[in-house]
Amino acid sequence: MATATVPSHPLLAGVKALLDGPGGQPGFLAERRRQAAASFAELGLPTRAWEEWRFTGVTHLEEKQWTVAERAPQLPSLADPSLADAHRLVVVDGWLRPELSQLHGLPEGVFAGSLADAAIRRPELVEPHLARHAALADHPFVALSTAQFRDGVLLWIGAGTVLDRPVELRLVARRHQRPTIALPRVLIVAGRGSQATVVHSSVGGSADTLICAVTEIVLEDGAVVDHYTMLDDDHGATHLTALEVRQGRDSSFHSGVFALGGGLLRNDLAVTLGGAGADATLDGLYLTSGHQHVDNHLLVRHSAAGCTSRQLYKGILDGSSRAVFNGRILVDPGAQKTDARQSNRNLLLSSAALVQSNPQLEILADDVRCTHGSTIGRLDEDAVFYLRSRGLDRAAAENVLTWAFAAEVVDRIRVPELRDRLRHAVLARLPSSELIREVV
Amino acid sequence: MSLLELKNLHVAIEGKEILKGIDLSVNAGEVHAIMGPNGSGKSTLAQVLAGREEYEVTAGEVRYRGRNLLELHAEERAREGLFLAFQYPVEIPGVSNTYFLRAALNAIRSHRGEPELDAIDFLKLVRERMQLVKLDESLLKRPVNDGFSGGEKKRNEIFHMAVLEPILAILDETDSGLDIDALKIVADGVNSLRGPDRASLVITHYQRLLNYIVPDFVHVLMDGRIVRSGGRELALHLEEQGYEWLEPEPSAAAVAGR
Repeated sequence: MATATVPSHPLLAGVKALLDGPGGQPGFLAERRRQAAASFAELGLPTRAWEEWRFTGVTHLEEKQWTVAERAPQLPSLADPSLADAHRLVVVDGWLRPELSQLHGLPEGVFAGSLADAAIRRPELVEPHLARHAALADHPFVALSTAQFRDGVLLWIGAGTVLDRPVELRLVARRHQRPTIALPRVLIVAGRGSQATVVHSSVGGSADTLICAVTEIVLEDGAVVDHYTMLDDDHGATHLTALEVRQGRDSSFHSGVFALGGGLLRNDLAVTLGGAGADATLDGLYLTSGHQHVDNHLLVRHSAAGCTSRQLYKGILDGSSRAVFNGRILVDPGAQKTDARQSNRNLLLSSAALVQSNPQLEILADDVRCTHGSTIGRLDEDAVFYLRSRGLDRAAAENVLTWAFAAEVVDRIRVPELRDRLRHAVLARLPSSELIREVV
Repeated sequence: MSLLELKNLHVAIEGKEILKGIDLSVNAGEVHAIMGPNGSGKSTLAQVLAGREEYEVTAGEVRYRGRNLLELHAEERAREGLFLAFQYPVEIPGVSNTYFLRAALNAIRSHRGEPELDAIDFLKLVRERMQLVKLDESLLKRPVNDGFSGGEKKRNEIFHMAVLEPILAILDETDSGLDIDALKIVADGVNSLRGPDRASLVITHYQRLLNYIVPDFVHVLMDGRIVRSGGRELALHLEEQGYEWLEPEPSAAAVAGR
C-alpha cells in the first residue's frame, strides 16, 4: 500500500511524506487518507458554479502557496481561557499540546487526548468512526482534512458516563511568516447514555492563516451532547469548518455556533438523525461587519422515525458584510412523524450589508411536520420609538433592540459561564454605552 | 401659563392630512379627556405629542412648559416629563422590564440633574409603585411586555408611568380591551398621579373610563378637529347619544378649558 501514489495538488503537498514518513500511519488511517486525497484532487477547490458554493468564493486560496503548520517548537502565550471551570484541551496549529491542557479530574471511562496518538495506541476507539460519517462526503475541505490533518483531539466518553464539567477545546492558530494551514481534527464519541458538554473555540491566526477544522461527533443511543462553537477572532483568518454529527436512538444533540468575527467563514454542519426518537437543536448567531463573509450551511437529515429537529440561526450584519444561510432538511422515506423546524432571521444595520437566505426541504415521507421561515429586515421603528418615548436616546434604543435580537440565541446557551461570556462579547460589539449594559 | 398649548395644529402622514387645526390648552392640575370615533385622529395626536417622527407637522405650534415642543426629540420630551401610555405597547424580548425602567428613570433623573438611583432605592420604588397597579412581581423580571396579556401590557404602561412620574401623561386608549377590574386599577394609577403640578390627557373611545378618572374637560375630536368641548357631562351625553349628532364643522375650534 505504501507504494500507492498520492495525487498532486498544491494543497495536498506533504501528504506523501506523511504516509511514508517515520512512524508511518496505522493502516486504516493511511487508507482513508489516500482515499480522501484522491477525492480532494478530483473535486478540487469549489467554484461558484457549485450549487453549495454559489455565494462563497474560495478559489482565491489557490493564489497562495500554503504549508501545513508544523508542531510549534515554542508554545504561544494564551489569553485567559473562556471557562474557568472546565476540562481543557489546547490545540496549537492543529497539534494537541498536553502542556497547555488541563485534564485532571476526568471521570473513569473517558479518553481525552491526542487524536494522532489514539489512532496508533487506541485504534479500537478511532477506527470505527474517524472519517466514517459521510454526510459531508462530497465536501472538499472535509476530504482535505482527512488527507492532511496532523493531530487533533479524541474525546471518547464511555457508556453511562456523565461529565459534570464542560470540556473546552481551544484551537489556537499562531501567526506565521508564510501562508499556513492548520487542520485540527476532532472526534467525539459519546457512548450509550453518556452526557457531555463541549465548548469549541478558535482564536488567533492572521489573514495568511487558513483554519480547516473538522469535527465528527457520534452520539450513541440515549447520549446527550451540547456542543458550542465560538469563533471570536478579529485577525482575519479564513475558517473552513465542518461539523458532522451522527445520532443514535433517543439521543439529544444541542449545538450553538457563534461567529463574532474573522475574515471569511464557512461553517458546514450536517446532522444525521439515524435512530428513532433522536432530537437535534441547532442554534446559531453571526455578527458581521466590515467586509466579513459568513456562510452557514446546515444539513439535517431525518433517517429514522419520530425525530425532532430545530434550527434557529440569527444574524446581525453591519458594514459591507455578507452572510449566507443555507438550511436543508432532508426527510428519508420511512422517517415518519418527523418534526422539523427551521428559522433564519437577519437584522441589517447597514444598507450595504447583504444576506442570502435559502431554505431547502426535501421530504420523502408522508406523515411529517416541517416548517421553515426566513426574514431579513431592519429594526422595528415602533419599538425604537417606544424606547425613546421612555427617555432612551436613539443610539441606546437601537442598541437595546439589537441586543434583544441576539439575546434570544445567547440565552439558549446552557452553560452559565459561557452564556455570560457571550453576552459580554456580543455587547462589546454594539456601539456604546454603559446604559445598555444596565438594561440587559 | 398653560402646561400644554396647541395652536392650529395641522399634521399629515404620507401627504394625507390627519389633524386639521387643533387648538387646546391644558393647565397644570387638570385632566382633559379627548373622545371621538375611530379614525378621528386621536392616536395621531398622542403620537405627535410624544415625538413620533413619521408624522409631519404642516402648520401650527405646540408649546409645553413654555418651550416649543416640536423642536424636541422623543427622548427629550420624555426627559422633560412627558409620558405616553401606548395603545399598543411594544414587546421587547431580551430586555428585562425592571432594567429597562431603571435605565429610563435614570435618563430622566440625570437630565434633571438628580443623582441616579442605585439598585436598592430603585427596587424600593418599584415595589411600592407595583402595588398601585397590582402588577404581579414576576412581570418585573420578564422581558418588556414579552408574552404579557393585553391587560398586563396596559397595567405595565401605567406602572411605568407611576415610576417615571410624568408632568404630562398622555393615555392613548389605555382602557380599550380592559375588564372592569383592570379598568379600575388603571384609573387608580392615574388618579394617584393627580396633583397641582401635573396634568393628564386621556384619550378614549368610551365614556366608561371617565367614571373612574373624572375629567375636568372633555373634547370631542372628529375628522381631525375638535368639534365640541365641555365638562364631564359632555362625555355622559356622548354615551347616550353617540357621535352622530355632532357634525364636524371647521368653525367649531374649541376654546378649551376656559
